[in-house]
Amino acid sequence: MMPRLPRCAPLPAVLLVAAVAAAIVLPAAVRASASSASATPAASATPAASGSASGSAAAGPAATPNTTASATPIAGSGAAVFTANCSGCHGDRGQGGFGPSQQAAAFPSLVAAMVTRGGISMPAFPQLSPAQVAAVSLFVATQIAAPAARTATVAQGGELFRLYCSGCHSSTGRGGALSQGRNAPSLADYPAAEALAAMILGRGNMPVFAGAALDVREQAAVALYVQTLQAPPSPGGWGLGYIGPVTEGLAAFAGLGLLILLAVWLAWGKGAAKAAPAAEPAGTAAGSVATAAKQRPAPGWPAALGLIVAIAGAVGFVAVFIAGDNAQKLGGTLAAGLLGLGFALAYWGRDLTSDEVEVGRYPLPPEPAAAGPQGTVSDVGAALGDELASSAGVFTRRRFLTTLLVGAAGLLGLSQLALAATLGPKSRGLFSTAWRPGARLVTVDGVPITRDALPGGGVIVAFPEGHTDAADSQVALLHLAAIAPLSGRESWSPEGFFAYSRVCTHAGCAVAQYEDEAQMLVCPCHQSTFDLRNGARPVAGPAARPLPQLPLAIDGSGYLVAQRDFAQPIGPGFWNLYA
Amino acid sequence: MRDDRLQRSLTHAFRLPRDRYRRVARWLDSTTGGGGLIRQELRHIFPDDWSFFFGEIALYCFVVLVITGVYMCLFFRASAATTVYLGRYAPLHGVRMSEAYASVLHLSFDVRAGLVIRQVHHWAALVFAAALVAHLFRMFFTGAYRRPRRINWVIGLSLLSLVFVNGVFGYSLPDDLLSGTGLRIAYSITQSIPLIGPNLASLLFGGDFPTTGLIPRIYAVHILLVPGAIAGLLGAHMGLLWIQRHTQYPGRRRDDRTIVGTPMVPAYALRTTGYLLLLAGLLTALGGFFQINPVWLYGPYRPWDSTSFAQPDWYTGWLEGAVRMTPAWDIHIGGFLLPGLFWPAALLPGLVAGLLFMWPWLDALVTRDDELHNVLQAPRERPGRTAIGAGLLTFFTMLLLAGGDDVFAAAFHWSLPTLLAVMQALTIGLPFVVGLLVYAVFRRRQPVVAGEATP
Repeated sequence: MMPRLPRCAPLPAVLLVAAVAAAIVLPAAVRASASSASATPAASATPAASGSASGSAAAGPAATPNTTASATPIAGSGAAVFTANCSGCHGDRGQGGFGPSQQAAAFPSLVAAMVTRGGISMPAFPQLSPAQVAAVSLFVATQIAAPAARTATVAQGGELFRLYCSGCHSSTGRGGALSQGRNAPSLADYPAAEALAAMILGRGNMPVFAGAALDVREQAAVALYVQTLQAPPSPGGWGLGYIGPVTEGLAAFAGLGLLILLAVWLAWGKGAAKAAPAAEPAGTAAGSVATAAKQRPAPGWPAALGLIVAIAGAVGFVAVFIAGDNAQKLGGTLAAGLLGLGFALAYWGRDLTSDEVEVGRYPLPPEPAAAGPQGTVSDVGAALGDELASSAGVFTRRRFLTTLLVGAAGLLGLSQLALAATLGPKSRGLFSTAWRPGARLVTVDGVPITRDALPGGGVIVAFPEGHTDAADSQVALLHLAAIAPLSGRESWSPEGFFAYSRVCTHAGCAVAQYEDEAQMLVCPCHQSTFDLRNGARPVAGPAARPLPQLPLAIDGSGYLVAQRDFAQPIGPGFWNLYA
Repeated sequence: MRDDRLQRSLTHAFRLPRDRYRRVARWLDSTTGGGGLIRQELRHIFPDDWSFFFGEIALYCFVVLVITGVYMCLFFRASAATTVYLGRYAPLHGVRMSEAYASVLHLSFDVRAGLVIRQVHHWAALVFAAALVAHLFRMFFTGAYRRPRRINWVIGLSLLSLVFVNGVFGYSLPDDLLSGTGLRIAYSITQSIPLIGPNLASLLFGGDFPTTGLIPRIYAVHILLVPGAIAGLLGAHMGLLWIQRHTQYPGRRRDDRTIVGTPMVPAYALRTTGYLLLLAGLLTALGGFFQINPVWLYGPYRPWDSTSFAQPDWYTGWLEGAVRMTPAWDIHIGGFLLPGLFWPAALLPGLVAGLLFMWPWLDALVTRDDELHNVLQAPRERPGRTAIGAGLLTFFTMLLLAGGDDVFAAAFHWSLPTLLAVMQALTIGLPFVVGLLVYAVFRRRQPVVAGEATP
């Protein structure tokens, strides 16, 4: 009998292929997204340069410090290169002009990558030799950039990135989706200094991040972190595009598809399909038939091969473990060992055992008349009933006892629910936050915010002074001079400063996306969109209530302060919100 | 004379000398006293089909999860206390974070092979959930839930729910940005339940979000309470399976009284042990070659940080999609508020669970079939049920895809609001289209003799 194709055999194959294809396409698409999103004027302006630009792009930012070190730049030549190539846009002292200020460009690697690759508005400079690039990079970093910016660290940049940038660009810097069909680009496709330009100038929908939001040192720190994200230190393994659990889920289904293929292999040709029993079981209680394998016996070498691989895997794993920590090698050797041993056993069970099929009986409840001597559960129940009914006095007493038993056991169990009361400390209340009348607005670092804080627009995440850890009190402080306050709230936004609760009224995430052109605050979790031109009312997404507005005032010293707490509870809804 | 076959199979498979076999058999008899029963059960019959492996995949994923989980317990610190990171991952050097997050970084970067084990654990969880869903739908489409397996259907669904819940807890433990964001949403969902919501949230989470006592609490539940319950229910599930025997597809000599398949020892045991190792090997390869949940990139959770591409693991993705697609349906009842979050996040999973738990009884009610069944049905035999299943599967798939809508929008340059509207329409419409299509196709291909009632 020919082995029959397993039921729905194409199904797992389709599943597998689809999942693998999606897992590969998706990260690639994200990678491609930014470059096609905003056609880079630099690249289109200097098509001849694109070849060399992409060549050095492959080397990446990590490689540029080496260039700096080996090329032994001279400060004089750096200054000359600067004057000849950079000062036209960035100003003769890098103070900014047509191009952004270079106050925050405090690290040669940031400058060098930008010069060789070019950015969104800045062309690449392929005509400069590596030595000249290194020289001008060092010159900008040491002579032009603000000394304070040179103290920036990657770790600080990371914290600021997750506060201000990851809402749109994601914590891995791979971009994101915004309201109204716009997308935030991946940061992996431009030199990290492009992030500096965007923070200083704003970039279309992206607001300016300068002044009290991010000073030059903080801007430099963010740029350093962006540079790190482009090729993050990896403990091993492929990053699946760094776009979060979506590709991981696809990969998991691809794994399931592989397991199904293995199952198809194991089940293929087995059971009834392979060898239907030839003889009847001759009426035995659990009869069985063994059809002796008449076919040519399967070869033993595949199992032997698997076992040899298993041995190699075991030895290799220990060797790799002693040699050092490498995820691919550790996982690869251990996987080889397990797969080898697993294949050998599976093959053994599939092909090296006698080719037999058992026939047995399902356990079925006996016919009422034909109950065996050992009885069934229902027999026991019936006997118990008879026993109870045999004496009327016993019956009433037993019923009372049974009721008592159930009652006592139940009550004892329920009494332990009292322990639950100790689980939750009394709620501080969903109706108030840490904002008090006159509380100054401070940054996440505790720096008070003045009326000069947002000269170029943008957003600051602010807290009440002394409560920079109060999650329910975080507000987005915006300077929206052109927007008229809602009626009844005219005195809440002095000099055009608006403060809205940053806790989403839908599910409580931080409403981190501020879209400058659209004048929207958007929550990255479920895309609830709040219209700043209309009192942060929800205009799209699942949120139903506006973000509560914090009434602001400006005190005598020019500091922004709260008039009082929010007028209504912040954050997600609950049944007695309006109580 | 059954023993002869066991002996013959064993000697054939392992070239075992006959006297060696006899010695082992005698030893088994004398030490256990139940040698006869044991020898009978060693020949327990397992029908063969590739689709019967879903349960095995799930079981073996649990084995891998327990082994890797115990290893991780040796390194994880379930504490929200603040510490300053000074480990090997430079971009977080000097950052203040919880001890829990720091210990996960330590495990990933400073413990040799720690990252591989952690990643194998996470991959195993994802495959576990996927296998359980596949298992569930296999049961559904073939009518395996019918008498006498209704209790096991209920136990299986309880297992599925516990695995999903424990997956969420595991996702929450590292205290990275995605963990905290997920917990914040879970808190809001609890808070949305009418009347008891705010107090229940405070009780379960230990006060107002974010609470410092939450991580130790989740840890105890994740490593002890739920796995214990899973192990217990798994024992009951497989105990019943053992007593009732496995179902089988129709075939020659197979009926509701007679089971045909491979005996456990030696063939089936060898194959399934091999399969366990193959699965472990595949998960290890995934763990070694593919990063999963790179928490060092996400950063520690602070309630004022958030990120785009904020997705849960895939098995919670359908709820995420439902939450994203449900419009702002806040309902006001006499001064009280029923938050819109309640519908997709609390009511929907309740309804889905209710429907699935009751399905065997609903099915019996509609088909008036209360008989014992050991032979499975082909999906085409019951076009109505298959249509409902296909519709449900389409519905959940659309919800799951909608849970990643921002990733797709960013990746393929689609407009997110447009995509959302399309997904909303497809989620409502496509299940009916698919269901009707499936019904029409299978209805036509129905064999003439089919006497089966169709719902």
